[in-house]
Amino acid sequence: MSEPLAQAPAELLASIESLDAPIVLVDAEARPLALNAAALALAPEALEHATDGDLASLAEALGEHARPRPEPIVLSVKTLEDALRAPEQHAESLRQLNQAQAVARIGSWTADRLAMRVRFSEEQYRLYGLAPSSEVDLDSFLMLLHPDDRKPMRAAVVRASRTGEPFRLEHRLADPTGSVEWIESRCEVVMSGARVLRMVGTSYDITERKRYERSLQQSLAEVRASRMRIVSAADEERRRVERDLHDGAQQRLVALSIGLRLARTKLGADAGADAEVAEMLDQLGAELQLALAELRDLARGIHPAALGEQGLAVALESLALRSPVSTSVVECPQHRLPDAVEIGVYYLVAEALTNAIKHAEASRVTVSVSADATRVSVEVCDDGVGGAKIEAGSGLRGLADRVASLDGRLSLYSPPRGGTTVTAELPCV
Amino acid sequence: MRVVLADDSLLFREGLARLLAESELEVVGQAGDAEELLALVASEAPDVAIVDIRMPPGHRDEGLVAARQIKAEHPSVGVLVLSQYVEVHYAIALVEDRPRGAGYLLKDRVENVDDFVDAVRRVAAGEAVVDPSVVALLVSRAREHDPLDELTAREREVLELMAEGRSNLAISAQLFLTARTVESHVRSIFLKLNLAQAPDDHRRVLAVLSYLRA
Repeated sequence: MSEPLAQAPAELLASIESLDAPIVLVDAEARPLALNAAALALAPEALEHATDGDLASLAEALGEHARPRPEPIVLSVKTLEDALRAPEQHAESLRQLNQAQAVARIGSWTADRLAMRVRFSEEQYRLYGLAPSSEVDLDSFLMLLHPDDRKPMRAAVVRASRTGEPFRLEHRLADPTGSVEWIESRCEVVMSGARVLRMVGTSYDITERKRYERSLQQSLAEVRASRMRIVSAADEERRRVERDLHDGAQQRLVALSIGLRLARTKLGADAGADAEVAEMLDQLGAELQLALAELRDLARGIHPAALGEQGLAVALESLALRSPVSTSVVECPQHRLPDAVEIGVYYLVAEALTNAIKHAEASRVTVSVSADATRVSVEVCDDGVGGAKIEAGSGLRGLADRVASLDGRLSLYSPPRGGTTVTAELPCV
Repeated sequence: MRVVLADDSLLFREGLARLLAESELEVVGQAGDAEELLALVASEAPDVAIVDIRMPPGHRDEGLVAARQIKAEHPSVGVLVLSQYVEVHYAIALVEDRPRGAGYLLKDRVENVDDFVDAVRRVAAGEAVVDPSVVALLVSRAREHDPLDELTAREREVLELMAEGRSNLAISAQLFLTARTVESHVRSIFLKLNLAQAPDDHRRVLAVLSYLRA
C-alpha cells in the first residue's frame, strides 16, 4: 500500500483523510491506491468486501443521519476529482445561466408548494428592481406588481399550487424603475404523482412589445377613425347635395312651372294667332314635369329624405316598395338609431338589394334589421342563383368597405343555386 | 274659398297665390314656417291650409306636425300637404291623423291647375286626397303572388281612384259609369281582396291604402 499512496495526488488524499466514512481510493483499473484513516481502522477482511461507490453513496455516507458504515466505499481517482471540482463547475454554470438570463432579459424563480419562500435568479431581481438576494415570498412578490394585477396573479399562483395547472400572465410593475414596465410570467408546476412539489417559472420583460402593441392599436384606431370620418363626410355631402337640390333646383323648377302655367293661362284657351306659342308653352310645361320627375329620382338616389325625417323603418319600406323584385322588410326597429348607423344600414340594404336585382335573378328578397343597445344586425336574403363573391369592384366589395368603416363585420352565404344571404353586424354607437 | 299658404320659398308662394287667385280661391295669408302658419290659421280661420312638408327650422316634416296640430286646434280647417317626394308613409300618416279634410300631393301637381284646385276644394269639403303616384307605387309594387291579378282592368281603375280618395260619385263621373256599376265594382273588389266594406269614404281610403301597403 505504500507505493500506490505516492501515486495519488496529495490534494485528493487530504480530502478523504479526515472523513468519518471509510474510503478506498482506486485507480482507473480499480487497483487500490490509498485508504483513509477510517478505512485503515477497519479489519482487513472488511476491505475484502469493499463496495463500488460513487458520489451518491459518498454523500449518503457523509449525510447527517447516516448510519455508521462498516463497509468502505471504493472511489476512483476520477470520481473524487470530479466531486472536488463540482462546486466550481456549479458556480461556473450558474454564472453562465445568469449571463444568458441578463442578455435575454429573462429571470427565473422557484417556489415551494405554498410559495412561502420564493427563490429569484439574479436577472429576476433586476427585472423586479429588487436588491440581489432579498428575501421574497408570495405576499412580498405581489406587492411588486401593479395593484390591478395582484389579484389575478395571486389567483393563478394559488390555483397552480393546488392543481398543478401551469399559467402565463402579463402584468405591470407597481413601481417601474428603469426600462421595465411590463413583464410576462410563466409558471410550471413540478409534481410527484398527484402531489405538487414546487413551482418553477420565468419572467420576461415585454415592455417593448407592449409599447409596440399600444402604438399599433393607436394607429389602428386612428385609421379606423379616419375611415369613419371619410365615409361620414361622404354621407354628409350626399345629404347636403340632396338638401341643395330640394331647396334649390327642385324648388325653382316648381316655381318655374307655375310661371309657365300662368303665362299659358294668360294666352287663354283660344289663343288665336298665338296658337303656336301656346303649343310651345304646353310642350315646355310637359318637359319641365319630366325634368322634375328625373330630378326627384336623382335626389332620392343621392340621399333618401325619408331617412333623416322618419328614420330607418320608413326609409327601408320606401326602398322595398320601389324594388322591381318582391321585397319585404320583415323586421326593423321602429325607434331612431344614431344617424351614422341609420345611414350605414340604409345603404347596406340598398346595395345588397341592387346586387340581388342585378345579378341574383331573385324572385323574392327579405330584409330584416334588429338592434339592441349595442349592436345592429342586418340580413338581406334572396332566393336567386347564389354564387356571389366579395370581389374588387363588385357591389359587395363596396358593401364590405362600408361595413368596415362602421367597424362592423360582413358575411356572405351564397352557395350555387342556393340564394344569397348578406349579413352584417354593426356596433350601434 | 279662403286659403292660407305655408312654404319657405317666397317665389313658390307668390306663384301659387297668383295661380289660385285665377281660379277664384282667395289666399288670405302666407307663412314661411310652421309657427307663422299656426298663427295665421288661428287668426284667419281659412277653409284650407296648403302646407309644404319640409320647412324651417328643421327642414324635416314640420308640415306634417303642423297638420296634426291644426287638426287638434281647428278641426274644421282642411290641410293639404305638399311634398317634393312621394312617401307612402306620409300619405297614410296624414289620412290616419285627420279623419276629415286631409290631402297629400306631390308639389309638381300645382302645375295642373284644374286638378290642383279640385284637390283643394275636396280637402275643404272634408275629403281625403292622396297623390296618384302614391297609389301607383302601391299598386305596381313587385309582389310574388299579386292578389291584384284577380281584379279586372276596370276594377283596378276603380281601386286606384278609391285609394286616391274619390267617392263613388266622383269615380262614376270620371270613368263615365253609372253609380250602380261603380258600386258593384267596389263590392267585387272588396270581395276579391277579402276586405271588409268600410263604413265611409275616409275609412275606405285608409283600408285600401293599408291593404296595398301590407
